[in-house]
Amino acid sequence: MSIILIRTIVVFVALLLIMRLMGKRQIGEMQPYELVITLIIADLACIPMEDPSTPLLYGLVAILTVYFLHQTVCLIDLSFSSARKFLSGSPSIVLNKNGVDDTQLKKNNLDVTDLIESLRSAGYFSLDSVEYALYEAGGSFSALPKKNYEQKQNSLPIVIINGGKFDMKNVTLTGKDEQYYRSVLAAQGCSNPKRVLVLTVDGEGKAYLQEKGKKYRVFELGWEGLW
Amino acid sequence: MIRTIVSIVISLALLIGGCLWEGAYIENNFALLASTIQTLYEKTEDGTATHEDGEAVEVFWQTKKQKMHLLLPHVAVQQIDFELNEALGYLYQGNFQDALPKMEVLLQLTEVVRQNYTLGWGNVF
Repeated sequence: MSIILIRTIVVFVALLLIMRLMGKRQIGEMQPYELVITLIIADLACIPMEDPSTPLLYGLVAILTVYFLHQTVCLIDLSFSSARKFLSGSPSIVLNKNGVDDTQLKKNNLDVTDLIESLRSAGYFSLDSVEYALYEAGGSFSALPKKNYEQKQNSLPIVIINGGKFDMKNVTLTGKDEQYYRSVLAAQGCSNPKRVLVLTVDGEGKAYLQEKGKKYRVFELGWEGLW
Repeated sequence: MIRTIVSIVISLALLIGGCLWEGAYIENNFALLASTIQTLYEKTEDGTATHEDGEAVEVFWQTKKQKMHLLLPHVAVQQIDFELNEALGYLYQGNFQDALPKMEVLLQLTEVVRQNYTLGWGNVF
């Protein structure tokens, strides 16, 4: 027991020193390599600490190696912009003046529902209430709202078509059927729902339609106060 | 920036220095241990090995063992300890025939341990 006690103290002090040397960023917002280091370092500390058959030096050498790697990656990250893009990634603009950028969403393994969820978390409930929306390299979400965006979000929009597929639960929620929305699409010059990237409607009858590879359109469906 | 470069150089120097020292320390001490066991083996084979010869090997191993625990998994050190005690036990009893195979195992072990902790593809992966 006394051996484990001493080993725990030694590893704790070593880790504390390393964390302090790495700076506050290691604890707060993390770059991908920093997250990797954080994940690795926990195991490196635990194994030699709890297993008396492993020399403690093994753990200390591994921790020092991780510190060396962290400092080297930091130096490369600060010195070379191309390396930074590789190591830390770059922001992805997923919504611009033309609407949702499907390619950027796919690159980040996201879909329109994820984007709408991120927008809601940021306080924007309608896709047309922001000029730009992007995912930062660290994974956080940022959006630039349009002027008077509050006026564009009077009611909660719900997704009717996502990636060419009807969300039947939401279709029912609006009190309409699939045929109704097919006719709405036809009226907008879109005969094939599979070509629709996203169609949302809100309780005031405002629809947001974007076909794949085209600019979005906002139009009225002619109902009011449904929810 | 300068602080980062300095920290990289220092940590790299510590790691490389440590690796070189560890490699040399294990290699030298196990070579020395193997040669003392070899001498004892030859004397045992001739029937001229004495209690003092056995003690000399034991003292040599005991002095090196403490530092070896820092560098090698404790199981590897314990295995050498076990085999050496058995070999010396037979030797002290004058049972040379049973001591010889134990010494052969010890010689093999010193070789295996040296190989296991040297840098190589087989050991890295």
